[in-house]
Amino acid sequence: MIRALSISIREFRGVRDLNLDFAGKNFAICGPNGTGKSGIVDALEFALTGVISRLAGAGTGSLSVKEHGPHVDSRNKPENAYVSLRVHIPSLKKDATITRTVKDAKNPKFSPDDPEIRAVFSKVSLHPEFALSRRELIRYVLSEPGKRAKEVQELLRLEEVETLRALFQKIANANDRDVKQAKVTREEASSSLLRALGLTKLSASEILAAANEKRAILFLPALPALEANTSIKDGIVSGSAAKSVKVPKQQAKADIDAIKIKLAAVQSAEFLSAIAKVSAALDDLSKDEKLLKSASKEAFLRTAISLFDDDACPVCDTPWKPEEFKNHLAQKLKDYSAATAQRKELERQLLPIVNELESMRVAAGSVAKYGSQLPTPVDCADLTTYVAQLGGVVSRLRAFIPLNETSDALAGASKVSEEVLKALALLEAGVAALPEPTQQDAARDFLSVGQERLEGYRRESLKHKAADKAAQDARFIFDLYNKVTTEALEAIYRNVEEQFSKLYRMVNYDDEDAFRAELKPSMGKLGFDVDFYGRGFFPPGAYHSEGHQDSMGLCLYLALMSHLAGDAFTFAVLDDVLMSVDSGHRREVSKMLLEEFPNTQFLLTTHDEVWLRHMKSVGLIEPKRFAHFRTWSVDLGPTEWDGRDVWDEIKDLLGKNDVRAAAALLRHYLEHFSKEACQSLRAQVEFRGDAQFSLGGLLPNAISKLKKSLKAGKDAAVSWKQNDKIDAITTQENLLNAAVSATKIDQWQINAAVHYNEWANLHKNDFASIVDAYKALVVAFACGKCSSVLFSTPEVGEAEALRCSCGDINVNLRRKS
Amino acid sequence: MDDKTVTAGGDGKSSVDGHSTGSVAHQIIGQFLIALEGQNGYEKAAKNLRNAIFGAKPTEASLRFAMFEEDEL
Repeated sequence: MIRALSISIREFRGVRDLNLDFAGKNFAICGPNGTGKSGIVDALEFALTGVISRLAGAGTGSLSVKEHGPHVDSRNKPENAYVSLRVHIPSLKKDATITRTVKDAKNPKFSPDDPEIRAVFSKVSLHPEFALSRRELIRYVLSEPGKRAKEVQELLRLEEVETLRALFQKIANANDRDVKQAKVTREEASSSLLRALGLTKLSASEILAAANEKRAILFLPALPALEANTSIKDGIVSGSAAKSVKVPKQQAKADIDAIKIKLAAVQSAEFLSAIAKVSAALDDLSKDEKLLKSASKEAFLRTAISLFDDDACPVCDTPWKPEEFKNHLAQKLKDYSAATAQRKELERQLLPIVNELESMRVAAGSVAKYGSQLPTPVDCADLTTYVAQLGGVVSRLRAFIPLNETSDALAGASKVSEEVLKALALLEAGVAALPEPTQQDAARDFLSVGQERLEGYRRESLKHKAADKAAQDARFIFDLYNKVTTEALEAIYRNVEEQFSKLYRMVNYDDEDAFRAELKPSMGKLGFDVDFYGRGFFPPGAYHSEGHQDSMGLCLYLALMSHLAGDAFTFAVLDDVLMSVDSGHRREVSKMLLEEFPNTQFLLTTHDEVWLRHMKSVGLIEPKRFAHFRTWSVDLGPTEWDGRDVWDEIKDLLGKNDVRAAAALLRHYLEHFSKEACQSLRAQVEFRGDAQFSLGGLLPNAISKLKKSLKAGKDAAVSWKQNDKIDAITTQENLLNAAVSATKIDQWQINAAVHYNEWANLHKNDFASIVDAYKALVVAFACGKCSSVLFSTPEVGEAEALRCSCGDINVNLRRKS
Repeated sequence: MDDKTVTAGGDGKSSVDGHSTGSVAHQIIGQFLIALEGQNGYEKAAKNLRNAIFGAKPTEASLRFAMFEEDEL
């Protein structure tokens, strides 16, 4: 998506004022621990995302970007703390700058400010995985399978897949519940219809036979068939039912008998035992305060997740990054998993109780209507109240939370008051006292009530069918979603597995050239096993060394990022990711990055100078594309190993008459410079296994090698009769010889007074002249135009030329044959 | 309902036009939508779901409406 061109950091974290020129190329930041390398990574992350990972997440407590993003001396001036990052956007073929201050981290400034550029930066901000530290890298390798799947899915930004899966599952489950509910209601309508028709079995032929029997009494034509729109009372004149008898005696009697059976059922030992069992479980759950709170909060948290707008908490408006908000609530929900399991089990036990009570409610409701229709009305207020109470109980039991209300509702579920029983008895007596209807009236009542209940049954049947169809559709979509996404994830993991194995083999071809890995997704988990020297597949931490695990983490990250971003994988920050990898394998890592990711710009930090050299010698880092920090102070921030800083700093120290510090700095710098010179000129030095080379063991060798190279160049120029070259080389030689002479390096071994060990004991003015001499010597090693240290080419084999970075100096070392 | 083009790649990837971000997640979801469109009787649900998923942040209510074309009242 982007390539970093340059960065300016002001008053941010440990940096006071720093500019780095990446030029869109790979760039290395090297320096001992505590010199500010990771501050640069923080600045890059902050510029692109507004976040500093190390100030967020687990264990960071009260740390925040706003409070702790600015330099400690600017902590009360967050407006002074900013990072400005200039990038190239390959897809737009444009350069752009994003500037973000700590004070207003959410509103970066863009230049140029156009929608296309904003869109690219917006997309980058959603992919903070461009920066990887060793701490993060090792998560992919050593995590538990369930956790690893989450880590990898987070890296691949797959949370949307999981979110959608959860929504489809929720819909499918809710529809299953709707079907069950619709089925109960339909069965109640069925019972009511059967009672009205005096049947025991619901079949079209039996309904038709019963209806036609009554129709014959009324001299109505027999119905030939019972279809969906057939009315069994067809032909009865509206309002012709016996006006004196509003209550159909037979049907009312059957309804009252039915409710008496239901009343007996809800007061049966079996029903009471079921209630007692659930009540006890509810009491247990209520006693556990934590679980109780969990159960209460769970629904709330799920609602919060569904209402989250990817910006701020829906309750308190606190800004959250989407991933962090969801993870935060997911962790809480995970803690509630025990309560959730108990809740599901209790809901399962409650279901038959709820169904029985609902059936009772519907039946009691239809009986209560008869009270006012009887010739001598019966006051059914208590019965109606009971029906309303049952409705409340059913609602409470279905809601489940709060638990105390569920417990209370359950406690009263089987209680039927004396008043209700009395009202029922009065109703029963009222119905019994009704005059027996004539045969015709009875037939008319039969057909009218039967038709009414048949229509009710048809309505509920249609609802049930619709609910059933919706449930089947929802389940089908959910199952298909699972199938397709699982296959797609498996394909991704296969692809990543192959790419990962290939990258790892490249780094470890010397001893693991047949290495293979297996990524196995299963039920939300991701198994990761690696081949161990042909002895079988094991978890990475089982037998492989820490160094191998580090390189596995890097290779897995690179494979995942390749798959995640494809051609848009143009930028990655690797923050000291190969701490435990030995130098030989680091060189191979450099080669692998260069060969396999030619279109990716890597910004790498390391505390290891040797790896920095590897990166340069392999060509991963171009000669000038690195920053070498030598020290850090709270006042200055990181300080680079470039000449300008050093000579100014030495001058400042001498101004304060601090010769000791100035001498230490000069020696330290010359050691650094000598290493660079020996490396670039391919000078021979006495090997030290501990890599602790002293100034005396380096600088004379570098001078000797440069002199020899210049002499070889002059000889070659003479052989080719290139007089202008001869003059230029002679000038360079004279410059070098004069500088060497001024430093008196050649007298170190015979004159202790001029040895660098004595510098700290010199007078300020005496040491100042030494500083001038060595500054001139350093200049003599460099190109006058581009200031780069001269280097021999090629890097191996017989040297053919002495060059500088800009090409102004290009001394041929080969004589005419 | 606007048309969006969803094409399956040969490497298990797919690209989804319209409101999709083109992320790996959307590529996978796009594959699901293609599969659903190919199921007899689910063509319309697939189109509705594509809008619900890629047009805005999907919610239970928006998915329900897409699947059953009915509001939860």
